[in-house]
Amino acid sequence: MAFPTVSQRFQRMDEGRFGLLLMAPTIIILTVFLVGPILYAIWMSLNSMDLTISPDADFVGVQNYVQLVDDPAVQDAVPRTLYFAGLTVVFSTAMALLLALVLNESFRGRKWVRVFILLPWAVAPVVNGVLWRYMFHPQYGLINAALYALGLIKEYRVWLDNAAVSLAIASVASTWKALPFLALILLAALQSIPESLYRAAKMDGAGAWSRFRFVVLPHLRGILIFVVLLQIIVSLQAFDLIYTLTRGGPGTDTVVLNYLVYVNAFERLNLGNAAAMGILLALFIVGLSGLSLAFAVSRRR
Amino acid sequence: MKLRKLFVVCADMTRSFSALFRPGVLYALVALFLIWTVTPVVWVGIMSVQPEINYVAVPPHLRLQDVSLRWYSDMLAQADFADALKNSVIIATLTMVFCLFFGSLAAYPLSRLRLAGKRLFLFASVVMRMLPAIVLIIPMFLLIRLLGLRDTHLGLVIVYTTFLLPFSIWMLKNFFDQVPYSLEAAARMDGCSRLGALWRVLLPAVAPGVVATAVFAFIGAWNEFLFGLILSTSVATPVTVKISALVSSTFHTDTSLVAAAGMLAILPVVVLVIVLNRYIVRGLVEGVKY
Repeated sequence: MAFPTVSQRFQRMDEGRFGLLLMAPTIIILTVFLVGPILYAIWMSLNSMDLTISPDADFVGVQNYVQLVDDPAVQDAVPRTLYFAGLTVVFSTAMALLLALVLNESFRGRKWVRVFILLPWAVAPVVNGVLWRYMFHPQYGLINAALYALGLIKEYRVWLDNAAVSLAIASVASTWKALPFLALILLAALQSIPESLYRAAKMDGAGAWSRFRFVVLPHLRGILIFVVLLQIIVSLQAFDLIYTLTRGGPGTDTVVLNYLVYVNAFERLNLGNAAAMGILLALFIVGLSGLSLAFAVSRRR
Repeated sequence: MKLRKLFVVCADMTRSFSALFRPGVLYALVALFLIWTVTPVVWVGIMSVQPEINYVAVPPHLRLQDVSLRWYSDMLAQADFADALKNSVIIATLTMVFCLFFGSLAAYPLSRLRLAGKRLFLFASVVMRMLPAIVLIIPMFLLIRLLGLRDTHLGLVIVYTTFLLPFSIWMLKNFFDQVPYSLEAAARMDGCSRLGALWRVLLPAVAPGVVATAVFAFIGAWNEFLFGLILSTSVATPVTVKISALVSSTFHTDTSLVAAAGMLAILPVVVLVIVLNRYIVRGLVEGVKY
């Protein structure tokens, strides 16, 4: 009897095993390089690992988590993060909705407009930070030059010199990059509104505003919530942008939570503390993404 | 092929019944959005072809006769920057290949076969997609060092593949789901093996989806910064890390040089976006479907 060849063995294998075999490389990669590190991060968060004191780990239970509450750096970073996330959500959702509505209309050159509008999506967050740093630069920023030319300012000013303005600029930059994607998924939703609804509304004599209010908006409710949650998640993960835009400065004025994890790990060398913060942040984000998933699923039904 | 045509039609998204804006308002809004989109890039682009003295002046006096590409050639002549660009090309390309290969192998059973734990896997992969990378940075650093892959292309390729794979699988699965079973059934009847059906029928049928997934993996790897920063020291340094070093350098670097470096770093992805626009649009929409 001939020994079965590899391909014959594949043919005979039942579906479940065959499927597992195909997924095996992925499962191995994700287990070793994702699940493993996650578990290690959890273990780190339960140990005192302050490299400025000792290179050894010392099991301390939830102490790192408890300490976070009293950490002044955390107390400062939370309101900053909320401010940054809030601004970003408002800017990006409002602008994305407007852009989607615009792109949903027919106008000349629409095809090319859509190509151009997509550009920021592909720009690396690091470069995004550089672009906006140069837009608001005290010596050669375009914003200064434009305001000066319009006579709105008498002399160039430093924009990135305080927390409120710097974080607002960060959320403008963040919005700039996120807009194409958000507008496109909103546009896709707009395209799924049945024509008959518009016709019926027009027949009833509904103007543009009431068509928007009573036809478009209710249809977009689910996806708008999805967009808001997504932007909160993205804001909580801001790092690259802050790194090149402000480096957390001036002082520590723009150190948002995610950036603080980095600072704690690589500048303060307090690994246990950084891990605990990272885990908390991750749990919060996973919760939010679970929520957005629920909305996405309910949207389908 | 009929199926491909269908994709293209969907990707156009040109249905329009709303007519919410007056033409004047509409064109004004279009103009504003275009200005908003291109201004930062155009400004840095101008900086990259003008001597610093021109735009430092108040008000800036940009002069056409001063336009020069010498900052680009100077930047490319710097060995470490040219190497960083080369590193990014190598790393992003390999990551793309790995994501497509392992991704389609995994997406096939998730889309086509009866498999225990399928929903759990898919759910877990969405959640992992959202996980902040910063949590994993120290464990990943230790793991990569343990494997002796610090500051190597392979080390970064493995890390980037890990992060981009769940998303690639997700997208490919969504594309596979749209192909009718009958196509494969016909191929199987003709004596095609299951893997043969994946390779010869399913993948060609979703070619636009494969292109979209490939572009996403490439751009994702090209743009990554945090792991590049921590896992590379010199040999494998990607261009994003190089840019951040240039910008925050305490020595005074000619700003036109930094601007040119930034432009060079976004050039490849900008070209991809322009050339493969409709695939990307389609992929963006498909990637968020659950």
